[in-house]
Amino acid sequence: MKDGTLIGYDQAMNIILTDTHERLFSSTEPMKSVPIGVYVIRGETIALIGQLDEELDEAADYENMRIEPMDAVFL
Amino acid sequence: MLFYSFFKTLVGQPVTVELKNDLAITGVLVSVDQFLNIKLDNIKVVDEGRYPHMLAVKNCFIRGSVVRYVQLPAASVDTALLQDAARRERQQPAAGVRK
Repeated sequence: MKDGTLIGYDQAMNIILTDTHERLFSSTEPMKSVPIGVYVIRGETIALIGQLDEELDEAADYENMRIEPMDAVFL
Repeated sequence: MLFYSFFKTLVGQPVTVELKNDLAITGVLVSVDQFLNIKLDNIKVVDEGRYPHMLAVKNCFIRGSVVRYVQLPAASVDTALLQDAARRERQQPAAGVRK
């Protein structure tokens, strides 16, 4: 799961994100947000693109979340 | 193209989309395209206790290929019309498609 700023896309749904962070969820540790810079993601590998509500995102208590990562969609 | 046309008639209706990883998302259908990619507004993950990952996401685009089910409001589906359209599509296959 990645969050970043969408700066480009094409007809194949490939996308470019800047200021990307990978969100690592764990059932034993708090959510970790790892900065990974600029990411070009192949459209085929994308399941869902959601717009983050920044207010809600700031308010969310990710530090106290101990949750399993989501299951893979692509098997 | 039948399902594409059908989903287009449901724009504005509340639907629940279940993904192939069991995540279910309820929202208002905003748009659908030829691949049955779906845009939802005002979304809510059905089991938020188990899936709080997306609690800060209010609208989303879902790739058609990851959708398992779309649950529709029964009242906005005209099954007789849908059946009729399916029959008509069967009688007039798309150009270039051999029977």
